[in-house]
Amino acid sequence: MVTLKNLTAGYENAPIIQNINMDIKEGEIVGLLGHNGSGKTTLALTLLGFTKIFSGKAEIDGIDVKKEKREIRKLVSMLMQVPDNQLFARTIYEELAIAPYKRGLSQTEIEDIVNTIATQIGMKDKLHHSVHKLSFGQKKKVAMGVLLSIDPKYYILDEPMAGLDFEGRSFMEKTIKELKERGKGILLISHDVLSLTLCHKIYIMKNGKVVEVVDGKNIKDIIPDLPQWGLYMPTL
Amino acid sequence: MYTALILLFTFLSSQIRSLAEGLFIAAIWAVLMVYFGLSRKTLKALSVLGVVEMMMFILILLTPGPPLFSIGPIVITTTGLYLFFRAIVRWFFAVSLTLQITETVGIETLMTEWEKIGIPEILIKIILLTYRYLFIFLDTLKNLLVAIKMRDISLNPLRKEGRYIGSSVVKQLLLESFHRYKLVSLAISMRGGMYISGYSPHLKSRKIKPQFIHIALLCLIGGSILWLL
Ligand SMILES: Nc1ncnc2c1ncn2[C@@H]1O[C@H](COP(=O)(O)OP(=O)(O)OP(=O)(O)O)[C@@H](O)[C@H]1O
Ligand SMILES: [Mg+2]
Repeated sequence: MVTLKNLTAGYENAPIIQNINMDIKEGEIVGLLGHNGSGKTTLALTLLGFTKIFSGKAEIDGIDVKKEKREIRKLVSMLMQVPDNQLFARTIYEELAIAPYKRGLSQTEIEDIVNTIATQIGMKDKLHHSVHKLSFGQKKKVAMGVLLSIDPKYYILDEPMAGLDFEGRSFMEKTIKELKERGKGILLISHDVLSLTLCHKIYIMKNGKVVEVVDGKNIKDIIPDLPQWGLYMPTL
Repeated sequence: MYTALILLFTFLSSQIRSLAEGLFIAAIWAVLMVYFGLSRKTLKALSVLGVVEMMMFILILLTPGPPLFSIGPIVITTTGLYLFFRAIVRWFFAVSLTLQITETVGIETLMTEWEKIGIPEILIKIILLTYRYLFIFLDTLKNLLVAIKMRDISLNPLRKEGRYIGSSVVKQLLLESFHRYKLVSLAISMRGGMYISGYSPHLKSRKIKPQFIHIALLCLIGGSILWLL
């Protein structure tokens, strides 16, 4: 379980997120909704021990984020908002192979994992293509593939749907559902309420603070309140 | 093997003193360049680094000696000009071949060689990160330049506007690439590392024959012996 207690964190001498209380259980999808600059990415990075914690506590399965960064990064992985920051290998094959290789799996096991994930993300025929020539949406799918290859216990997905077409979105949605079935804990970040329909509960952030926690079932009820949190109402 | 080749070649090109020596290095350079196949990434990196290297121009201005000609208060000396060209030539051969080999056989292959020789892992990690950082830096620079061009801003250092924009671009570039570098390191640590030791599909696809490397090394060693005589 991921537990945040009265957490205040940010960069250098700027606390960005303040007094956050949150928990994410295994097999649960938790949504994080907020306007641009509300601190969603900062919160996500905090869970990986990337930001400075000013006060309060962040724990994952009882491990203190502040103290045991290495251990934490074995438990949690994040789909970064900008896929270029996530991808650093030459080819899609390598992107997907590094994590299983580092876990010490054999060559055949690695090949198996790479092939399964490549099929899932629809890149089976592009395995040996160079990553930096891919389009934004393709990079995002590869980045999601990388996360699947790491296969952590907790997934943080920073705007997984943004910039994707219909097919890409359905892929993400399907993958997220499967992860939940496999008992993974998921933090799903978005500024678009429509992409949070899968969530068990949704935290709403405004200017670095959690202003509301909504049950996933009642997602429709909050639609009229969206503008007051700096979010847009879905219309047709 | 590649490491030895790079080291020897770099060392020899840093010793170029005469035209004959330069020609010897140039001949080996040309063969190796053709053999490894020029990549666009190498060219890009080379052109950016080349701009930095041109700063060696200072050499011309600072070296005392018999004046060749002068532009206003600036006196160009023969020694200065000679030193400048020598620096550029040495730099060019060494850097271009190193980049070229690293790009085509893959830094991973080189680092695997290092691993085998027993070079500490921490050093290898630092080098890998620096290498990635160079490309992140170039990428960031490219994006920034596009953004500047779109706004129709001139980077002419002779104009006040150009200088102002130029200096803030440099600052922006460093901040931006440092920020990205930190995020990429995070991505690396989430995956538990950044390269697959001893595995390089590139090497397989390029099929560089080890005999060739041996011949190149022999030529270099032979050349350097002649050199010393
Ligand atoms: N490296 C940094 N150093 C200092 N301040 C930062 C840094 N990164 C982000 N911030 C600031 O933190 C605040 C929250 O940024 P964050 O990226 O967490 O927002 P976000 O909710 O993810 O927004 P978006 O929807 O645009 O992704 C912003 O005001 C931003 O300026
Ligand atoms: Mg964000």
